[in-house]
Amino acid sequence: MTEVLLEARNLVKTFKVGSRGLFGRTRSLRAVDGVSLTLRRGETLGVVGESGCGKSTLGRVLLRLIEPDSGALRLNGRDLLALNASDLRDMRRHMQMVFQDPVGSLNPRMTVEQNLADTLRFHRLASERSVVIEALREIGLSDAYLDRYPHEMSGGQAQRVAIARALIFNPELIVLDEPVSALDVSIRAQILKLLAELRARHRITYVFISHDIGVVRRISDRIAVLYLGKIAEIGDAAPLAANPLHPYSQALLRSALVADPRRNRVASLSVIEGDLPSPIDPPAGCRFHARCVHATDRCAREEPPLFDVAPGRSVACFLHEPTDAPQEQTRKELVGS
Amino acid sequence: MTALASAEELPLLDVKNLRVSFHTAEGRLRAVDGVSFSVRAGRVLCIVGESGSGKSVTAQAILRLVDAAGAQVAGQALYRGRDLLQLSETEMEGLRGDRISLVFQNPMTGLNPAFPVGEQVAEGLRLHQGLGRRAARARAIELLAQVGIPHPESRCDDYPHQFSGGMRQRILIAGAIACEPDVLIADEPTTALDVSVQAQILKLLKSLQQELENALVLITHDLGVVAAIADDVMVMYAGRVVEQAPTEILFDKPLHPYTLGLLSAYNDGGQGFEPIPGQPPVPIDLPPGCAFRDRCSRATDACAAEAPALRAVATAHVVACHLVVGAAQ
Repeated sequence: MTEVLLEARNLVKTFKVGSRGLFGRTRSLRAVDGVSLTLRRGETLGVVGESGCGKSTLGRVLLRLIEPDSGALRLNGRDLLALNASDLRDMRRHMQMVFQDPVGSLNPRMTVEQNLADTLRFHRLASERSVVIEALREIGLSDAYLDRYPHEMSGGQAQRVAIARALIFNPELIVLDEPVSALDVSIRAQILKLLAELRARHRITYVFISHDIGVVRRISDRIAVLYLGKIAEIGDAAPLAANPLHPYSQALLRSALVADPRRNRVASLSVIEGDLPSPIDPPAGCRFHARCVHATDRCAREEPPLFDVAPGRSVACFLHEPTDAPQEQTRKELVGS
Repeated sequence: MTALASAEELPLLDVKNLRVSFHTAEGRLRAVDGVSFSVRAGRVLCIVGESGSGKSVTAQAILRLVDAAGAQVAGQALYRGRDLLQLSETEMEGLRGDRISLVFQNPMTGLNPAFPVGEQVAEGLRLHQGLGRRAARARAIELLAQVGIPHPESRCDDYPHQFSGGMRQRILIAGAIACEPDVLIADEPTTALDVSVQAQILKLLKSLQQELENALVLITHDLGVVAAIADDVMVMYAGRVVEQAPTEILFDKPLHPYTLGLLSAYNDGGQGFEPIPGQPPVPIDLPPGCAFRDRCSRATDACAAEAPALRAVATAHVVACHLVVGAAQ
């Protein structure tokens, strides 16, 4: 379990966004702003945050589907950012992606068989029918689906096919971007169960991206909470969900609804005030300070780094700054290094 | 006049045996098949179901918004005793948006991108209450403030794209409550929103309902939303009501196998958990019997022979399942 599969260091991705007015200057949006992660083989890392927090961009950067501006990225020790196009294409067999919109992520003019065979051909692999049938069986669909078109399937079936397409090369890493958000509750449970079975059978490593912490905590070994392009908190799933430390994680978990009318009636629901600030001009200091009930003057001035508070648990909040922290001067040097 | 006394007890909205079917190439699709429910002032009814269960069509039929070619709507939808389905189009236009309002699911498409939000919020006021431009604008600013839009005086003239999804949903709600409707129907009002914003919108809907003392019908697939806001719950499957109960009873003692499956799918999903297999049928030429039987682990021969009728198992708790009713007797 301790073998490192993917290592990301200080990833940054900035997008240029349209200027205000004809002569306005172009502004930049830091979608991913210095994210470091280590993924161990066979584990599932849940990435959770609100829309606009950069979680989808991070997922794509981890697979180099989006080129980061800076940072380092290693899969199995190989430097992903140094690969040329053809090596990267070979590498893609080991790292796959599943998208939110299952029907939209399949080619609408191709049958299920053609969709899967096309993927195989792209990687110059034998596209025999038996391989496709085996891939479908793996995700619980019979060969009756071979000749179906995406629009002839339900969302759950199409998502199974999209998972089959990701799985067909027996990849080591799959990034799942909101894979169950578009599905109905009963179908969602089926897909989560399928993902857990596949992980157990093939020892796949997942990055599971979702806005729904209720879903993320069910499938993840570890959880990273993302806020405006930065990790607010990261740690093992069960302790993080049971006892979130960052005020943002706390608020996110509190606002997640549970199907129990005694625990979350609307009158007692706590809400995070305000909207997510614009990532174009993120607030100075801690990015959460304007919405945080514990914010102090320091939070408005100074940005908290990730403090290690327990083995495998880090929190970017001054409330959890270790008491024996070095003086401010030296600490800044440490963070900078 | 005894109207005052009876108005308290009479439901604001009383739907009886509503049936909606559409013409398709494969045959008649029975989207809503004999749905009955009622809501009184001050109550929140949640209609729960998955895609294709008929929950949205139910709302559209009540508001007379089903207009597909070959669509048939039957049954009754009584608003204060008047059958909405029998009103002339002009009479209906007078009620829609005034006494009965709808909040659409998608805050992106529910607003017109070409008009400032203030004008859209005020539209109903000008139409139904005959307010002039200036008075309507002043009221729109009040409404925007009421739903929690910061700086409503200046933001009143902004366009929908200048707001976040949560803010747009608030603006849609402001428009829907402008004329202080007796019945507010909200179709998946929080589905497109982040969890943190979802909690804000639910709180807003509940506080507005308490202020206006109206009836709220909230359509959702999310049992967390139901647990948070509903007084009564109606579970739909393939166009029919399978279970109906006050909220606490439904969560404490769910009886229909579909309700049970939904609840465990929502809450658990961990090791050893069996999701409901398969998927809901398309209600075209369904064979006789219970529509859920193919996905039900407890189905018997009786379930294939005859569709179970809704029967009361306790006060205000009805369920349509042969197994449950058999056990209760």
